Amino acid sequence: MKQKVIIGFAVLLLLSVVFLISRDLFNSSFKSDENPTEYNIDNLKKIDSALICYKEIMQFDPGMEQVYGISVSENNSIFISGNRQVAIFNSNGTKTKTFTTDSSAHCLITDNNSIYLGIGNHIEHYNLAGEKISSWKAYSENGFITSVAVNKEIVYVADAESKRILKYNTKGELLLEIGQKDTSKGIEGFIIPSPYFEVTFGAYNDLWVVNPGKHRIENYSLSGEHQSSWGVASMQLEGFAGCCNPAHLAVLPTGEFVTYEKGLDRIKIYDPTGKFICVVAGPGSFKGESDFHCTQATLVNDLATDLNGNIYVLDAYNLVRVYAKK
Amino acid sequence: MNKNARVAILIIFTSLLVFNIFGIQRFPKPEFESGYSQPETQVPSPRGAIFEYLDLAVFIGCLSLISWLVIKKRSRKGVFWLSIFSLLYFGFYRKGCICPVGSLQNISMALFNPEYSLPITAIAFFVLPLGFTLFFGRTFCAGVCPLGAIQDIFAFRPVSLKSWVQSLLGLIPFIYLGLAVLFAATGTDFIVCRYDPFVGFFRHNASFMMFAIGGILLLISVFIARPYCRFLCPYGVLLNLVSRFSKKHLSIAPSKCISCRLCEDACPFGAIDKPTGAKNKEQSNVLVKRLILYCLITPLLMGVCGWTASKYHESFAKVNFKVRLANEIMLSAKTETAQPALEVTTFRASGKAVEKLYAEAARIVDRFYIGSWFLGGFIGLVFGLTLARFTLVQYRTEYTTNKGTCFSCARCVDYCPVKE
Repeated sequence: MKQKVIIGFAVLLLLSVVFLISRDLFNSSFKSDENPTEYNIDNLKKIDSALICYKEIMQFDPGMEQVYGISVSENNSIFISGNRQVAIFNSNGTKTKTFTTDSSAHCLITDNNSIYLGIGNHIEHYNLAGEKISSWKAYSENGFITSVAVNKEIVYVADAESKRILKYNTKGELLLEIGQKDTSKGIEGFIIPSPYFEVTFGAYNDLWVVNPGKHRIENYSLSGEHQSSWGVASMQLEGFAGCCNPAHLAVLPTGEFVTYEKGLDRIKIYDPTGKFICVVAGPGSFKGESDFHCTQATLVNDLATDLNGNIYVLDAYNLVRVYAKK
Repeated sequence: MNKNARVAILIIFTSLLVFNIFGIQRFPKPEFESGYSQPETQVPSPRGAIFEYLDLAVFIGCLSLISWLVIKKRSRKGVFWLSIFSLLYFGFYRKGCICPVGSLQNISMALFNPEYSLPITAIAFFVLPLGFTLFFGRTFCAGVCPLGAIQDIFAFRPVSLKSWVQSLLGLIPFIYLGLAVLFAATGTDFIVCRYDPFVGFFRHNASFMMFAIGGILLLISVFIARPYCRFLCPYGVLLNLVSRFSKKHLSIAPSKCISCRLCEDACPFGAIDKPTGAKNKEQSNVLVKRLILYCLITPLLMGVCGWTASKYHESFAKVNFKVRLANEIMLSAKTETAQPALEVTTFRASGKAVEKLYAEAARIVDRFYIGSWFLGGFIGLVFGLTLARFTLVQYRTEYTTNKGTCFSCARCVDYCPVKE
């Protein structure tokens, strides 16, 4: 009797297995609920307000059709490159000068006496009156200059196409290439998956280069030797997210770094050792993504700082936003 | 091995380690700490070709060893330990993929879809157990199949089933085989893999339902040994048929059976045929007439079952993703207010022409119509042959293993007092 019950129970269980499989096979239908495989990053866009240590103190419209690069001089003049023109503003955002260029400059830097423009594959040097001093020979025919840094007699240029940092003198003579891959010396080169490749000088005239594919900020001696680096790949606030970040880099007079990450659109502050300190502006601080129809896939086109520690953000909607420490 | 050879081997292996130095960190691994959970995958990561051939070599080694253990050594202990190895290697290490049970779908798909590239390892995994079965019986089931091995471990208190219950439940694998071939041939799904009850344990990633089904089958295994192998496994159908013609099959007694009846209840699978009574000529005449009748009925059964199955071809076709998508799009077009399914939204966003999808779905439904006729015909044939089988009485004078249903596990061998 007991055995019959056991067999009956076991057979019933077996038939229930067959039923479950049949039902799942023939009755599966599409569901109109949430996408189970959606890569939802909404949580990463939420930033604790206590971590935001800067506030926006000013914004102005430079009145240009398209803006690409920004630089601030020691006397707080703001230089902005746009569609075949460069405009100069005073610290209140009032335009003081405009001059035209042959092509659009995607980046620029001022040494207080002149302006270096990264135009396509080469550098053009202008004085503050808007007169062209020189046009340098392109390193590579297909080159694309994304960043320029100047320090007295030396100009460093980041070429995203050749993945090199090029060292020039102010006459445009090429002195050195940094980043050439050399496996025998363990030099891996820069990994630049997209045209975001930054170079800048630190507070102590040390050279810093963004290696976006590795999510690292690398320090080089002026003779091009790699000395140190910092930065980790992480979706968390402390790290750099996505395939290749940060997209833009600036340095405060105190030596702290200002970084902008495309994708999550975070502007953050790191101390000189690379330790995360706080956030300048997080996702949502700029115009929403849904109505973002610019040709560039970022909300911030460039960053700059002044001697007072203010941060200048050139956003993709042709606005200059100035942030000061709270 | 001389010293120079050992030094040379050491240098070769050491130099292999040097390759790591050339590894360059490219993009970091993605980090999912935002509450995002990875979707469950059904198939383990692909392996390098060399490792696939290694798996094949291990597989051939296991098949050879188990056949030797069963036929020559007649060692139950050996069979048991090899089945544990197979469970660990093909189950937990290789995560149940690729396995001969699922490979029949690869074969079916390749036969009906010339564009499908059939891996040589899939062919080998499908053919080799059948080849070994043709010579040595179902030794693959005995100790190489991880699905069988995991159930065998749970067979603590096996009870015997009535033969009619076994026969009735034994029809399920035929239907499952027919459906598996139909869905694979139409490029719809590999349902044997999708509903593999134990692969979730091997991969630790099954859905709740599949974990539940696996758990239920292991629970059943305690009382009804190897329920999946006996009443579900579609590959077992093929092995059963091939094994009937096996050249050297496991025998209970190594020589003459002394009919001591010690082995009568030794088989937990009910695969021992008892000696039958004397041949009755009068009964034989009745049985022959009945056999002729069933032989005549079988084509009729095939036709009826084929026609019945063809009536359900649209239901079968709805398992196909494209058919289901076309159906859903058609429905959502009629009911604009309803929230469309994600798949519908994705298809619309792709910009593909809906007419093209409808045309493709219609082609698939047509294939299902033909396939349903074959499926129904096959089921009708199985019903007919099952009925006819009851009329065939085999006269036996000793206890023998049933070549079709015996898993060659060698349990009965230990019960037999005849050792030489």
